[in-house]
Amino acid sequence: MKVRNFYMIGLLLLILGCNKESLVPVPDSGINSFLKQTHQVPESSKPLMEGIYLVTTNTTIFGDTMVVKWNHSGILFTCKNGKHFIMNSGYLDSVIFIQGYWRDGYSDATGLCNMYISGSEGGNDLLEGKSAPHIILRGAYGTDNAAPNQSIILQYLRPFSNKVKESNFYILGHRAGGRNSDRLPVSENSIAMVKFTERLGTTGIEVDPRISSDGVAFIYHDADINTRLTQKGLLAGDVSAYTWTQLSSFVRLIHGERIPSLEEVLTFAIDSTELRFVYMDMKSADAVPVVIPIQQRAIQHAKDKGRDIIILMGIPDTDVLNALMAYPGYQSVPSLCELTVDDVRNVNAKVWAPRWTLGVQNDLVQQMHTEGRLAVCWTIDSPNWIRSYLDQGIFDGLVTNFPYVVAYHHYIQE
Amino acid sequence: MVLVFLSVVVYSQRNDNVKVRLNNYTLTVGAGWTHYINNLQVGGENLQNDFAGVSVKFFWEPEHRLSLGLESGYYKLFKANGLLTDNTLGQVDRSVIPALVLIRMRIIENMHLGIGTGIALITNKIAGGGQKVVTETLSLSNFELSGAYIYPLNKHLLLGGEVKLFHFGNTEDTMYSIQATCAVRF
Repeated sequence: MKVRNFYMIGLLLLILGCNKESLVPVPDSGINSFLKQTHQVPESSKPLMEGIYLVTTNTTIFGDTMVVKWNHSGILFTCKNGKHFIMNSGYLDSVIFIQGYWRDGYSDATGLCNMYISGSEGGNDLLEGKSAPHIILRGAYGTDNAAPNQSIILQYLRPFSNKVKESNFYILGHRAGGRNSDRLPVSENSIAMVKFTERLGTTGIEVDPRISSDGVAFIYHDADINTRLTQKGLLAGDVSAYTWTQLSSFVRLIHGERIPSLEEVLTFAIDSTELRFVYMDMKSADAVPVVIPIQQRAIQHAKDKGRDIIILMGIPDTDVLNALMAYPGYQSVPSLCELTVDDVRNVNAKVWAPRWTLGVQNDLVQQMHTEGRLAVCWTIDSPNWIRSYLDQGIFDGLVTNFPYVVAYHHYIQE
Repeated sequence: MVLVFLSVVVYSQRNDNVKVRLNNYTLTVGAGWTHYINNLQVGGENLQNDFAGVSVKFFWEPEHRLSLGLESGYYKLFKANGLLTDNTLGQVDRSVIPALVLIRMRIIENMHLGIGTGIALITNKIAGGGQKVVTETLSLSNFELSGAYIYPLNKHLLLGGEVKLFHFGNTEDTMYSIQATCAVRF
């Protein structure tokens, strides 16, 4: 290779390396969205729409099948290749309208999408609460904010298999749903992300507790205040050196949200979502005695509200493990241990959470199951590995930055 | 700026009749005005961003054009007031102590351009909101561009002026400074 080429490649890498993470605009169908004139789709109709659909147009973009799954806030259409549709719905007469946007988890491609189910193609039956074996979704999608102009037709293929319906599999959104680098419209580890995450297909979240200098537990991933996680502001340096008042006054996350306290996140997850799993990945051993009472209050609050939700203290390293074992009655603290299965037993963790690079480890996972514990694996993002772990592994859940990909491969299982 | 610098370097490859004694060392101190370029997304409304700053440089001048040196100094970047969530006033200031390696080139008689890179210690202080907090951040990716006019009063004493731009990568802070300088050559 000529020396000049070598320098050119170096310069190119330097320029690309200096690129800020781009934020993908979320297309907006505007304040005059047609859905405002429609009625809410009845709860009884929603499970009847769920299932596997054949894509009959534009299969090169979206693949040949899609999974359709309702969530707390809307409806998710998710494809094998990371593309997914975040949609809302409504009905008028016998027609079900579905409107929203699609995005690609692995690139910055996005666009608007409108679809409908006419009365004769399943709308009548669904709205009457009857199963409709021949549902056809017709519509169009576009690019960015342009009006949808490319045809898309989905044809109902089958409902979810009994294996899927009977499983209690957890799709856990990393950093409450996804990292800032995943170009989501809300910041990682924010209340807005906890609100948004179910739209991506999650049924649980992983969050990162730390404590402020005055002993308030809050959610923030990195040890320092930086422009990867926050808007450029007045504070810099060690995030835990500041008081809670200082942090909440002067720090805004990358999309403008305030740093949330752990208590706010847990209360929101219990009161305002249908999430079933919260994994508190402890970022400092000092936070352990602060977090335990908050965890206990949240568990009690969930019980009072009749919510089926597991709230666990994550043990990522021996410092946190030792801090937990120094706490009186530590074996009764619901925990998730990322260390060895012996550590899991010592601390009586409810969940074992090995790193995904260690493999499916079915023998150890089976041991955990035999002891009445769960096993989840972190943090797995590649579509091929996700599929492989679902096919070959017996984990009870996966932590991921791409929950819609896990959702596709989980719900499509026969 | 880098392109300008490189262009000037190419231009300066002409014959030069200025006679300069080789293998000198100079110690330079500077003081002057600094201005922080306010690119804050949060809290930038009540910002004071003009301060005095000082610098100190040590150069080895092994040949008639290029010099290699070390620079440090002290610069206050900004001072700001803001309302805290408990309705009290918080006061924040940020300062920096850079430690940079410099390459300086004489372009024409008495005129020099320089670039530098190195580390910087960024100190953030806040008062209000519970307690006074001081944090220190070591920024590893920083650079400086500078232009200087240096007039030799005699064999050992030089006076001049300098304009320089700093960028501190860790906090993405940028500032410039205009300083009067005094150098001793030995």
